[in-house]
Amino acid sequence: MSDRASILGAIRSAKRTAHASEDIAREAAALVAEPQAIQPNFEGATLLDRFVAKATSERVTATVDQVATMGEVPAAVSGYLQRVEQESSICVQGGAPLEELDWTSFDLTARLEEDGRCAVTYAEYGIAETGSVVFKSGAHGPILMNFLPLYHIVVLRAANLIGYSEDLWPLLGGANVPQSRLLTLVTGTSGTADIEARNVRGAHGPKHMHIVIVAD
Amino acid sequence: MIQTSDRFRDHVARALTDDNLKVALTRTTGLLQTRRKQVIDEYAEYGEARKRAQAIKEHTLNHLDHYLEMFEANATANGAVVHWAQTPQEARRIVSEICVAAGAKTATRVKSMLGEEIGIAEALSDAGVERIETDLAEHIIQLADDPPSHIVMPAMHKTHEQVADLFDDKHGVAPDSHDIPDLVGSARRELRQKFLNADVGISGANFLIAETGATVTVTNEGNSELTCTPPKVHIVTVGIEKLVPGMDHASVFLRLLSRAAIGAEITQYTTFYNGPKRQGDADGPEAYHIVLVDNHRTEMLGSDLEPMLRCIRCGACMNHCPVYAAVGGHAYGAVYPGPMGSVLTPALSSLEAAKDLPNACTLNGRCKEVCPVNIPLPDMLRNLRARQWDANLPTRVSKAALGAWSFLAKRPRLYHLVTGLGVHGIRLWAFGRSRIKRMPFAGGWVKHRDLPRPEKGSFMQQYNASLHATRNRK
Repeated sequence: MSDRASILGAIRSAKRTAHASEDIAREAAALVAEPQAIQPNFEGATLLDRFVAKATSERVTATVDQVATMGEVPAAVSGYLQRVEQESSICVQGGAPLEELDWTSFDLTARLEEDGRCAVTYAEYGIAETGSVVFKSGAHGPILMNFLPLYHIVVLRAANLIGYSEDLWPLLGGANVPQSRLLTLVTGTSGTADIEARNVRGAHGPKHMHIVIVAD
Repeated sequence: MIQTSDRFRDHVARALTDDNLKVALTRTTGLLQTRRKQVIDEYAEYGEARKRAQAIKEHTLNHLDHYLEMFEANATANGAVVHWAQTPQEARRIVSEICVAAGAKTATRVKSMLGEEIGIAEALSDAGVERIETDLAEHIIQLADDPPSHIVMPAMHKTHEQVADLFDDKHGVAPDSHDIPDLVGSARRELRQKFLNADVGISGANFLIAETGATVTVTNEGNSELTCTPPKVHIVTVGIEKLVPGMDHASVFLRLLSRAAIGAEITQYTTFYNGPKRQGDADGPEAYHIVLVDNHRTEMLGSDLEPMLRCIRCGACMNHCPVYAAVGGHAYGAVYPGPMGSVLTPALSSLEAAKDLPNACTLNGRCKEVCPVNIPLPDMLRNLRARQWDANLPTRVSKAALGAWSFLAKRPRLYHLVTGLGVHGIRLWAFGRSRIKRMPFAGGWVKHRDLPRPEKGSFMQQYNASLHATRNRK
């Protein structure tokens, strides 16, 4: 007997009861009905307020800039790099909407392998509950742009802010739509507490995260 | 790792005299308890979330065959190759074969307890593949050639001074200083190119999503994505109990896991892997394998050990266990230490090979209290003790002692007489001192600690006396 058959057989003999798929699906749906009952409540704060408060909290440690239009993003990036005293050598994610912006004042690089580089990437969504930003792998640029640089600069449209992770799943198109290879919820920077439980940032990837929120 | 739970008593004796271990455990467990309490207190909906998490796991386990088949179908449609392994040997064989077929020389690895359980290290050495641990703690213990001592923080037993000595000795470029941030920086420097040059990346999964076929990892370091993206092959080895029905169900657990484990609302990186590189993708592996591992889990289904299959490996039970805090993880001599390990190790090996573990428990109940899926660990440990009794495993001395106790307990008058005399006797033996350093018949007990002098009179004697006094006042 194959391992597959043995495992499924052992489960069936332990449980003995077969149920119709529809009944199981109904029971599963009931277990997550009314998600408000388990979602941290932030009534009274807007999505933007909550997102900024969480992203810049002591536990997440990102910094946030707010600009009016996409066209203002390069200037915001330049201002940030000056504040943190980094040279303007950056790696910008390809495709819309970042590639078409005016990056002429920057030294653009395609290489990310060495430390000390900055990358600018575009987040599909922001989750207000936790101050997380959401990225998907694809043709627009290596997903590793979010994991390799020391300075991670994230561009996020305010219109793409959502409340909770439960609000994200339907936006991905549902269970029957082919998904990107990788979907990641990033909350702050690469950290570790593996030595004496002391929190240290910049473990393997970003040590600093800066989020530019675009109003329009 | 080779299980040595049968030598628990020797391990404990050694652990209790290890000063470095004492320092390392004190520095960590207290901090983890404080951080957890803070985020749980802030999460007003915690009670309801915990209830739902338990119900979701129970539902999934009740229909595990259904969800495994659903997961397999969806993962396959996503482009994954799904393998099934009933035993660790079979899982190792599958991993070795994939590595050999890929012509792999090096493999990066993200820590997973299932990987430890099945012996991934052995599978890779069988395939002639150099293993590179990328989780900082796993990197430390790989260099030190130690087994893990905690399921979330495997290097919990090491002080930063010990890590500094290790990195000075083993890293290509020594750390800039012995401060913790510079030690982390040194590991970053050491591992960066290895991530990018590896042939195979191996991860576990915190969750499997049946309705999408995704495997999920949660990390703080971001080493999972760096492990699973550059190599041409990504292998996931995962226990079959990690299934949840859908994404909404995963949301429930994501809120609980990091709060319980490290005292954070969410970990830095929560990542869903849906298959190999898609056409046109800028990066990603060409092949993606998932190995579903049983290793005694189906035997636990339908037994009194089934609640253990709800476990999401957060480690809160060990962070709050006084026994773990005193002896550390290595003493347990198994992959899973602490309260959850004391239940799981007998199930994964045998009652006899782990017979001291269920007894290394004070039954104070904190492990159940802090468990995010409400596993009745103290009850299960008590059941294991009963099973040991039935299997005739306890030693002659402990059986005689229990026999004497049960003889007395069934005769209350005699019991009170003997305990009253006992208390009196111990008070006399104390010769007026408040702490007793030597004790006949209890030499083992007082070897590592003093016995406080008991109060005057047994509990019942004091209770009766106070009752008497109250009545007289009336």
